[in-house]
Amino acid sequence: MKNIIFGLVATLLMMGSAYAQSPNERVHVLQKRNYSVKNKTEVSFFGGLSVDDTFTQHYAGTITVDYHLDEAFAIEAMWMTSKIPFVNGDKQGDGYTGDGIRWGMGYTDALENLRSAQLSPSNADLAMIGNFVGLNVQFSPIYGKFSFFNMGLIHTDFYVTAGGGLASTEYQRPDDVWVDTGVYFMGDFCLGLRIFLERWFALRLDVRDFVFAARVENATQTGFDTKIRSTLYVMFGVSLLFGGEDPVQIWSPY
Amino acid sequence: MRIGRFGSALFAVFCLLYGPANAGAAEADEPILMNKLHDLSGRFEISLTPSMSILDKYTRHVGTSLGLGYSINDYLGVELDVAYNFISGDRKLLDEILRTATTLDGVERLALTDLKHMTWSASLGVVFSPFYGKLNFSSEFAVTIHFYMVAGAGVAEYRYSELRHSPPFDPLFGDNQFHKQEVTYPVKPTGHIGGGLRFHFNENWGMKVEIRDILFYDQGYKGQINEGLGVQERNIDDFVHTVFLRLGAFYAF
Repeated sequence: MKNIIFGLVATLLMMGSAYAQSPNERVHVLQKRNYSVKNKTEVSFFGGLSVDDTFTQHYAGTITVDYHLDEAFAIEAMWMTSKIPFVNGDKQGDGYTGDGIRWGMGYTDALENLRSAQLSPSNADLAMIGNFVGLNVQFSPIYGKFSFFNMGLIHTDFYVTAGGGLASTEYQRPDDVWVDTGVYFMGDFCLGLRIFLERWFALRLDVRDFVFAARVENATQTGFDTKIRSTLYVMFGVSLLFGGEDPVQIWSPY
Repeated sequence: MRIGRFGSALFAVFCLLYGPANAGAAEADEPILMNKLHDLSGRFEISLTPSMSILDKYTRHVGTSLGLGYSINDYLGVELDVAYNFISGDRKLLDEILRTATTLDGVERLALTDLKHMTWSASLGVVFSPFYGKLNFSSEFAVTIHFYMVAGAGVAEYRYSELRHSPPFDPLFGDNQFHKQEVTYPVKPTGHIGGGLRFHFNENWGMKVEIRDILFYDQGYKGQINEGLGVQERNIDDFVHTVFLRLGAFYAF
């Protein structure tokens, strides 16, 4: 216990003197960009989950490869998966069994509650994304610095990405059989934050929305329902940055 | 909680090495964000924030809130918030499910916690702002921001649509149709938790974007549960969450 108190006191005293500051000055624009992404290739690995859908619950692994054309623009290729690709499981009637293969695909309690009330949503509401491959454009207009309790600096990039690609989709019937509902063009839009820890390493937080038009046979199997489906993911990831150049250092008090 | 001698020694070494090392590095390499353009300390703030609910199952809300805040120092403040939802009701999804149902026999078994929607709320909260930052928009102009978290308690009024279905050949509502009767709950104690960003455009004016979850503990309503032995009626206790995305303006003085 004595060691803890000693440690805390030492830290406070030494940090206090180290963080002595200069008088306020007017900020015009943020300078001294310590982290540059121009001409760098960025490989990112994400884990994510869907957050807004009433009935479906996705968990997904995602790999993105970005090439930064300059500090503001990048092109991005991505693969997002909630299911082992090109594997469907055992054939049963017009569908497949195999929940393990679809490791990131499931339904929320809301569906169970609805079914216990002898109700059911449209099958189009139950369609889930198995795999997605896409191409995006990334725009990073905002570079920022944050202080946490005035103790240390965090360098960040805020960005938006937009693009599209192809997604395979499936839904699960009440008898636990997964029915393939086809491959769709799917659009995606993302707001993201990149936190630089090193010039070659960063953390990323993406909020990414995927939109597609699901056309699925209705519950009474007498026709098809078409619905615009939107699934919002929150994704956390790590990035490795290769190549490029170190930023030019321009001294500034900001 | 027992930490142990080894753990406390390790912590002391960590504090000695990590704290000053970081502080020293910051001083030698580049200054911490020192030229703080927008202080919060000792200032009042009035905010008007239109809001909409997100992450709902069967309900929707659109409204606005009026807030008054006071910052005790740069990191800690208090706020009073009053909100009214001028759109508060069921989502189209619920009506669509009921309209296309092959039977409405079990409609009374839908969980009421999913159907409750808020009409107004009033709350007191504590605002905690640990992050201060500067953003550079396309190298043209700089905006200073605070990241903050908020938590507190208050009261709110909730309503819900009691779902009923009419039996075959019902003269009043028609054959096998659903109908809704709105029920107003008594005012309930609520808690809230959230976080957001405050953008300062000049000395007085700025913008806030925030996500706030307002919740209450819904205690002991009668629910019908479909169990192995058939439909049972029993008390259900559950939290009712309403998550708002709020985007508004503030004036600080």
